[in-house]
Amino acid sequence: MLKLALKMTWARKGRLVLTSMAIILGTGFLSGTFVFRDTINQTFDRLFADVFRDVDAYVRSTTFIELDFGGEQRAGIPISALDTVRQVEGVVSAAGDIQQFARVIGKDGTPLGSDGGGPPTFGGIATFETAGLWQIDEGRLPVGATEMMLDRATADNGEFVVGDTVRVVAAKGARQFTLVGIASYGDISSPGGSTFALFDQPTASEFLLEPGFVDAFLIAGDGSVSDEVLADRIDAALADDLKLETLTGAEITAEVQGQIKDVLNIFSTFLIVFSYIALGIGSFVIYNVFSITAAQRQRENALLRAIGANRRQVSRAMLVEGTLMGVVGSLLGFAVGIALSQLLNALLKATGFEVPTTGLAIKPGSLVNTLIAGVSVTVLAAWLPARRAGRVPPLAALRDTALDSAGNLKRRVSIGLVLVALGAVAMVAASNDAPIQVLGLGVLGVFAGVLVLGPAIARPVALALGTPVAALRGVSGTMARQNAARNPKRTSRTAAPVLLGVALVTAFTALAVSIRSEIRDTFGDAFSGDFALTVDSQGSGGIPLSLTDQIAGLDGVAQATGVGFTSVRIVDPNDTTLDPSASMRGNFVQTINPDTIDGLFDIGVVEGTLSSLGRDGILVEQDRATERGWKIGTRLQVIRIDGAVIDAEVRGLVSGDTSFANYVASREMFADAPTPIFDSFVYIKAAEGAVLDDVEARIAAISSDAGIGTLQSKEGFIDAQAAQINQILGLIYGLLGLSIIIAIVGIVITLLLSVFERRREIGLLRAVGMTRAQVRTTVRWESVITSLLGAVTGVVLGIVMGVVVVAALADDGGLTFRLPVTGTITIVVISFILGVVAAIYPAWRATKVNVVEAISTT
Amino acid sequence: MTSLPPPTTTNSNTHAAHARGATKIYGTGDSEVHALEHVDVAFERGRFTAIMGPSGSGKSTLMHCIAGLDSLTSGSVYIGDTDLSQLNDKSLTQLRRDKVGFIFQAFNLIPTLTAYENIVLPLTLGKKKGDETWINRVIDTINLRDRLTHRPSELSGGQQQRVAIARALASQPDIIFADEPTGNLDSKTGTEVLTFMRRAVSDLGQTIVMVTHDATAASYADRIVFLADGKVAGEMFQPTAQKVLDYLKHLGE
Ligand SMILES: Nc1ncnc2c1ncn2[C@@H]1O[C@H](COP(=O)(O)OP(=O)(O)OP(=O)(O)O)[C@@H](O)[C@H]1O
Ligand SMILES: [Mg+2]
Repeated sequence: MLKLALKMTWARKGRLVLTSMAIILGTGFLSGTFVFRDTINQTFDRLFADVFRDVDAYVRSTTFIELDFGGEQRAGIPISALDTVRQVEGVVSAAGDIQQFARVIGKDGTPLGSDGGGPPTFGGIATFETAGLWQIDEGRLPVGATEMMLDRATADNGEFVVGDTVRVVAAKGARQFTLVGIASYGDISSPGGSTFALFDQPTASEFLLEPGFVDAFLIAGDGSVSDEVLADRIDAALADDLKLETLTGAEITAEVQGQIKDVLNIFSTFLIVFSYIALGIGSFVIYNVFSITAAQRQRENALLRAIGANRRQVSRAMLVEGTLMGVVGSLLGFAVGIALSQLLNALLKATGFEVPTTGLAIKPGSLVNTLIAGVSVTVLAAWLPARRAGRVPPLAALRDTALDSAGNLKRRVSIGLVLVALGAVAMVAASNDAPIQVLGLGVLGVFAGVLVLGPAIARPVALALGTPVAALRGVSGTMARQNAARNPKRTSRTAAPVLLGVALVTAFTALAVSIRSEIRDTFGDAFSGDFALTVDSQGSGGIPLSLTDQIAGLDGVAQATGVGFTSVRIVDPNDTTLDPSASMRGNFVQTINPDTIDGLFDIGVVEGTLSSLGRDGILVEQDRATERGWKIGTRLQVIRIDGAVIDAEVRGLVSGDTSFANYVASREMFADAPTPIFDSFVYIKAAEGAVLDDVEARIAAISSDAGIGTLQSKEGFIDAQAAQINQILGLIYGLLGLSIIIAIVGIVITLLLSVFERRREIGLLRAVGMTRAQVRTTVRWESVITSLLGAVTGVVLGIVMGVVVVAALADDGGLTFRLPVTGTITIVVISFILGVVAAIYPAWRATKVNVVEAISTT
Repeated sequence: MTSLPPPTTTNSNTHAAHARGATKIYGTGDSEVHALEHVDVAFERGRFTAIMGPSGSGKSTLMHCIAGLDSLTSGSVYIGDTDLSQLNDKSLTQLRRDKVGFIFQAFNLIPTLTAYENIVLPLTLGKKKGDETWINRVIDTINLRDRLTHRPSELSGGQQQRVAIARALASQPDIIFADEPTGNLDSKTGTEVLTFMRRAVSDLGQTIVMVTHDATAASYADRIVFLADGKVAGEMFQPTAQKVLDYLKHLGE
C-alpha cells in the first residue's frame, strides 16, 4: 500500500507542486527569519571577537542600572585609576574607553544618522595604545580640545576629508573640531550604521561625560600570564572603594556579543512570530488544497475501497502523501528562506540599518525547526481530509461528480454559533476587568467560530456579492457568481486567509485610530504653548539642558520648558517582598523643570503639587502608586546611574495620560550627576504680541546651530505624537502584506484546481460559443467574489472585535471607538485588486482548455 | 438494395456544410493514425443526415472538424460559404455560437445554470435576444415548460438531452451536430429524443448531422453516410432499420 501511495502521489505531480507551493511559502518566511537571525548573530560574534582581539582585561564600575530593553547603564570610572592599572605586572598597554552620545553635523547642517529610532550615534576615545579598539585608517590621532577622528563610513557618508572642520553635538553642547584622521573598527568601517566621533581622552571625558571620567579601561597584557591571572592582579591592585570590577577579554567579548544579541533578538523574535502567524494562515491554504484534491479523487478512492482497500489504508495513503509533501515542501521552503533572508538584508540596508554580514549562517537547528513546523502543519492539514477520504463509500465510485459534500449544515451552524458566543462572552468579560489573556481567548473563540460558520455563510454572501457582477457582466458574471457559490466549503476555505488578515488589520486599525484621536485630545488639552522642539531619542542623548535655557532666554519667548528621560532605580526600603534580583532593574523617570512648566504643559497632577518637587521629591503614576501601596509622603530611595542614593519623598500623583513615564522628578535631582541628562521635548510659548513667524525663525536658528531637534508648531507636535501609533500600524500592515501574499497563492491554487475540475464544463462552453475573453471574465469575477467574501466578513468581524477591544482597554472610559473609514475602504479595494491579480494565471489556463479533449472525456 | 451514387457536387446554396479532401492525422512517425483520409462529404440544408461506421472509423473526428472544434491536417471544410481554415479562434468561436448547434452524448449542460439559461446560453453569450416566438415554440415542442427553472441535476437523462436539443435549436443555427445523442438513454427516451430531432427537421426546417451506432436511430435520418478507416465507404437514402443492418453486415464482410 505504501508503494501504491507513493506511486499515486507521483502520478499527480501537478497537484504536488500546487500543494507544495503553499508549504514552501509558509516555511520560507520562517526559515528566512531563522537564517537572517543567525547570520546577523554570527556577524556580530565575529565582529566583537575581532574588536576585542587585543583586549585581555576590562575594568568597569560595579554600579549600573538595567534598562527596560535589555541594556544597562553603568557609572563612569575615574581616569586616575589608569596609572594603578599600568603598574600591574604583565600589563603592557591600558587605555580609557568612552561610548556616549555624540552627533556629527553634516556639511549641509543636518545631523548624520537618524534622529532617534535608527542606529545610535556615539562619541569615543581614539588612542595609540594597543588596547584601544580603533585602528587608524588615514591621517593621525587627535590631540587636544580641537581635534577629532571619524569612523570610515561616517566620513564617507558625510563626504568629510582630513582637514575639514566638523561640528559635533554632545552633552556639553555643540562644538567645532578639525578632522585629523579616519579610523576603522575591526574589519568593517562602522558597525550597524552607527556613527562615531573620536577624541583624545581628556577631550572625550570633558565633552561627552565628565572631566576625569571614562566608561571603562581596556588593558592588553604582555602574554606572560593568562588573562584570568592578569584580571585577578588588576582587581587586587584597584582600591575597593572605587567599586570597580575586572573582566577578562573573553568575558567582555561574550557579554557584548550577548547584549547585541538580546537587542537583535527582540527584532528577530518579532519576525519569527510573524512567520509563525504566516505559516498558520498558510495552513488554511494547505488544508484547502488537500480537501479539494481529496474530493476530486473521491472516485479513485471509492474504487480502491470497492476492490478491497480498507478505510485505514485509504486514509494512510493520503497521509503518506501529506507527509511527503510536507518534507519536500519544507526543504524547498528552507531554500527559499535563504533567498528571503538576503532580501530582508537588502531591505534593511535600503532603510538605513546597514547590517554587516560576513557570509550566510545556515544552522542545522534552523533546518530542523523548519522541517518540524512545515511537516507538522502539513500533516495536520492533511489529517481531516484523509479521514474523510477513508470514509468514502465504495458506491461513490459509480457516481459521476465528485465535489465536497455540503456536510451537516445544522451541526456546523450550531457549533459555530456556540464558539462565537463563548468567544463573545470571554471578550465582554475582558472588557469588564478580566485579565487580558481572556480577551485573547475570546478573540480565538470568535475566529474559530467564524471559520466553522464559513461554509454556511459563504453561499448567501457570495450570491449577494455576485448579484451586481451578474447584472454587469452578463452570462460570464452569472457563471462567476454561481461558481463562487456552488462549493461553499471550498470558497470559504479559500477566503479564510483573506478573512483572517483583514479582520486582524481592521481591528488593529480601529484600535489605532481610536488611540490616535485619544492622544490628540489629551495633548491638545495639556499643551498650551506655540511650539515644541523634539528629539526622538529617549534615554540616550537629546537636547542639552543649556539649549533649553538658551531658548527660554530668546527675545519673543515668554516661557520654555524641557522634558527629558533618564533611568534610575527606585527602591522602597519598607517593601521586603521584592525579589532582590529585580532590584537592579531600572525605571524610566521623566525629568521636568517645575519652575517653568506651569501653564505650558500639564503633566496631569491629580494629587499634590509640582512646586513642592525640589531635589528630593518624586511624582508617581497613580496606578503604580496604588499597586505598590505608596501615597504622598512615602519615602523612597532613588538610585542614580552614578550610584548616588537620593532619599526621596512621594510629593504627588500623576494620571499617566500626558507623562511618558511612571515617575516624574525635577531636573535638579540630576544636576550633580556625572552622567548628564538631556531634554527630549522643549515646549515653548511665544510672548504676548510677538510675531510667531519671527519667534519660530529664532528658535529654528538656535536648534539648527546646535544641529539637534525638530521644531514643530503646536498642531504639528500633536500630529507627531498621534502619529507615533503609526509605527505600530506599519508593523500590522506588514502582517497584512504577508497574509496578502498567502491569500493570493491560496486563491491561485484553488482556482487552478477548480479550472482543472471544470475543464469539461469550460470545453462545453467554448464549444457552444463562449469566447476566450468571456472565459477569462468568468474566472476573474469568481476570484474577485471569493476575495471580497473574505474581505467583507473580515471587515465586519474586525470592526466588532475593534469595538470590544477598545471597550476592554478603555477602563476609565477615556477611549472611545472610532471607525477607520479610509482604512476599511482601502482594505476592500486591495481585496478587489487581489482577486483580479490572483485570477490572471488560472484564467489564462482556463482559456487553454482543449475543447475536443474536454468534451470527449467521459 | 444499397445505392452508392457518385459524390454530390458541392453547392453552398443547397449545402449547409461540406468537406473537401478532409484529412486528419494524429501523431507522427510510427504512431501516426490517419483518422480521416481525403474525405469529401456534403450535408444538405433541411435534411437529417446520419453518420455511421465502426468504432475508430473517424466519425467523431469528422464531426469535430466540420463543426470547427478541431482543425484538419489538410483539406478544407465549409459552413455555408465560410472556409473554416481561414478563421482565427475568435471568429471560429463566434461561428459556433451563431451558426452551429451541438448535442453531445453526455455532459451537455452547465450544472450551475437552469434549464432555460442553458437553452438560451449561445444567445446570451453573443449578447443576443433571439427570436422569442421561436424559442417558445422550441420549448413547447420539447415539452419541458414546467422544468425551465430546474438545474440539470434535477432533470432525468432524457430531459437533459431534450434541453440540449432545445439549446442547439434556440439560436436557429445553420447546422446542428449531434454525437451519439441517444447513446446514454434507454430505448423509450431515445425514441422520444429522436422523434423530436426528426420533427425539428421536418416541421422546423433545421439541418441536423448525427453520429450513431444504432440502426434504429439512423433510420430516423433522410440519408446515412458510412465511414470506414477514415474514408467514406458508402451512402444510403431513406433508410430503414432493416436496410441499415443489412448494409452493415455487408460492410463487415
Ligand atoms: N487525440 C487523439 N490522438 C490520437 N489518436 C486519436 C485521437 N483522437 C482520435 N484518435 C484516433 O483517431 C481515430 C478516429 O477516432 P474517432 O474518435 O473519430 O472514432 P469514432 O468513429 O468516433 O469512434 P467511436 O465510434 O468509438 O466513437 C481512432 O483510431 C482514434 O484512436
Ligand atoms: Mg466517437
